[in-house]
Amino acid sequence: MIRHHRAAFVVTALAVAVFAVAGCGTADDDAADRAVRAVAPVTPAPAPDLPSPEPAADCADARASYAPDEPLPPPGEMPEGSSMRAIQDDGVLVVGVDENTALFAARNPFTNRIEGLEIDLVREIARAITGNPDAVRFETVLTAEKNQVVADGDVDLTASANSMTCERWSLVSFSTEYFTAFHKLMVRKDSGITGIADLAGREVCMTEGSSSVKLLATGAPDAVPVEVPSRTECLVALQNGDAEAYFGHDTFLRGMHEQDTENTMILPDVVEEQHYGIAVAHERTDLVRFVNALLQRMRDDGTLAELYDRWLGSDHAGVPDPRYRDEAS
Amino acid sequence: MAPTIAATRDETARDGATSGADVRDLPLAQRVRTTPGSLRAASVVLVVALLVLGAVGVVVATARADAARDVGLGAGPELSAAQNLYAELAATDAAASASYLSPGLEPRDLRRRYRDALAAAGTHLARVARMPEASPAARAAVRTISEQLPVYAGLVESARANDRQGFIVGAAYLRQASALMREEIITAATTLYDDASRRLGDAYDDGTSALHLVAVAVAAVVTVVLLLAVQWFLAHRMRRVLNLGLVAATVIVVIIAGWTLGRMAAEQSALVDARRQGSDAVQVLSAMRILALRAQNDDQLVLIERGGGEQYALDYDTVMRRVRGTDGDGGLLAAAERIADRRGDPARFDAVREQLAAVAEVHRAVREHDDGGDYEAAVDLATGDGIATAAGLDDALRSEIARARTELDDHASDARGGFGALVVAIPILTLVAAAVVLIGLQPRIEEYR
Repeated sequence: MIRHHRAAFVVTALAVAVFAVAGCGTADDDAADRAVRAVAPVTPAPAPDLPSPEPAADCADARASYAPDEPLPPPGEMPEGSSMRAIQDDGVLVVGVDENTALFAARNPFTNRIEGLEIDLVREIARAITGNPDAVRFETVLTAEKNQVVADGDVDLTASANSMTCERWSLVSFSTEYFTAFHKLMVRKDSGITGIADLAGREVCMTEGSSSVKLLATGAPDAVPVEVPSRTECLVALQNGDAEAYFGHDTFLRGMHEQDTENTMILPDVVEEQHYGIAVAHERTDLVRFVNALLQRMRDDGTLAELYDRWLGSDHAGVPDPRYRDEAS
Repeated sequence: MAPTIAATRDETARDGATSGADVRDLPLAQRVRTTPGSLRAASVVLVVALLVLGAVGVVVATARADAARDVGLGAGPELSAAQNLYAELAATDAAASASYLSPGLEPRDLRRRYRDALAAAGTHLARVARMPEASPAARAAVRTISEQLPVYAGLVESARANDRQGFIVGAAYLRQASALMREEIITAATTLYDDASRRLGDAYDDGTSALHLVAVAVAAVVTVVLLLAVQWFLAHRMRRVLNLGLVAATVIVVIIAGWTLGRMAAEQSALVDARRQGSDAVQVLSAMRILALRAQNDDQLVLIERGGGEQYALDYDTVMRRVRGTDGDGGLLAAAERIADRRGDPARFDAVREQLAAVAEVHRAVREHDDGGDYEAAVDLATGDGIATAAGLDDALRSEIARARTELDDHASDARGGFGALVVAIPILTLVAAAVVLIGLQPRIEEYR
């Protein structure tokens, strides 16, 4: 019958329409979801824990290094098989530096060149080995890892405000002392802090992994430590009022104080002397002796004193005398 | 078609044993069993079915119209604002680190880029803050950004002031600024972006729900079947071939159903196009732009950080993997190209692909210089070619995003058109159909009086 056909037609047409319309409704991939997932924050990898070294067993005097060989071989003529020969053959001395210590090792923001007392010192080492003071490749290292990279052989040496301690001797060997620093306090002028005795309950900024942390814990146990990854952030903490004092080597304090002379001051109290040595891997004693011979020559001919004058003016304690743990090999 | 064809009287006589007046005295069940009772019941059922159809049609058409309007005028623009906010924040940070890294005085165009991006971020934040249906998390995120963005700008200016005097503490300020941007501000922007993206997805789902179509179709089919059944009853029991009222009502129901389904089909197809050609592309390209800016920033921060910059190098690798995939051929770029493919324009992102390759090439060279200890050359390259290629990529992505956004707007505008007339017409047509049903059946009921 006509009516039945019409009914069937209407129902079928509706069904077809519904399925046709419903069928094209779904997106065929998850482009939008993918975009949302892609801009989700990246989770940073956690920093690896560095082992805290035990004091070296044979460490009677952390300042004593290996006696130098005499005389120094001429540049570019290092003895066959020596560590220096390997560096000469590579044509470049790989040096780990910290770039955040004004006057010692820091980028000049106008030229982007790294410069400072320690930089000039390692350039002298490069000159003595290869004849070219610019044959240096600088690897930037964090304070906490500056000895580990030497022990791992990633760099030939570091000259990076590295205090000679028996703990560190267990990881690396040190040259003779090239600079004496003093642990001091730099404070906000409005803090009223006049010495280490005033630190109880006050926030004191220090670099993570530095010798200051332990020293403060013994010297001022009631101070509130604020640890930051790189020491320039301590100046930020001081300027922002997140800390009232910075505890560290006067070498750092000096560079930081120069960046904010009006509002900070360095207190005269010396908490502890720090003796800087150049760190070299244990198995490269020949390089230590070579560096010591060079340092001795620089002490004798006044080059080291000239470097002090160039970078620090008259504001330093003078070139320290070397100490040796053995006779020349 | 002829009006009410004459019925034969013997049919009436057989069922007409009881008169109309008597029927009203009988209980309901018996009343319905009589022919006039059946016809009265039928007219009630048909009117109810028509009203249900009309109600379903209006509700569904309104829901679809709302969803289509939301895509075009609500959730869609809100997602754009959230994406723009996120991208401008990333651009701000990239420009700040590029300015800082540039040796000597910061280049004027980088300074301008920084200021423009920061101002644009503020504008988009104001837009995002006005989102009417933002979740509590999104509101908290807006608050975080409003509070922290000025702090960020302050840190950047401190970095700049120190840098101009040659003080290296500037780098520490910039590091803090960037950490604040990445850890708090961008994280909050991600929340806003997620929220807006989810709401646009919901609007699409609402606007393309099969349930709506099925509801209208079922209501229409049930109504048509009831109309046909009553016609069949009239034809067989009363020998009436066609009842004009019922025929007219059937035609109106088919018109309502056809019009509603047709409009919804057109709307659905426009929304699917808006999604597939418009907002999918906008989302993928915006994500690429955000990540490319972050990668540029990473590259500069590695150089600014000087030691301890490994986290940024790792971040660069992660981010670029998301953009290009591991082999330089996957990731979001591949997703964008699939979208271009399905609209028959596979070469559309060739320029973007080339720009990405150029950026990756400069990155490789910068890392090579820096890892080789030649920091000055690395900085020269990063602040020269690095900034130029990154700007080229950013410009290419921005123009593609604008293009995709236009397509989104066009399709969304198609989707929401024509519902106004439909929503007015459905109730009118339904009432007309109900009236003609009653007009068509009343004479048949009257015949028993």
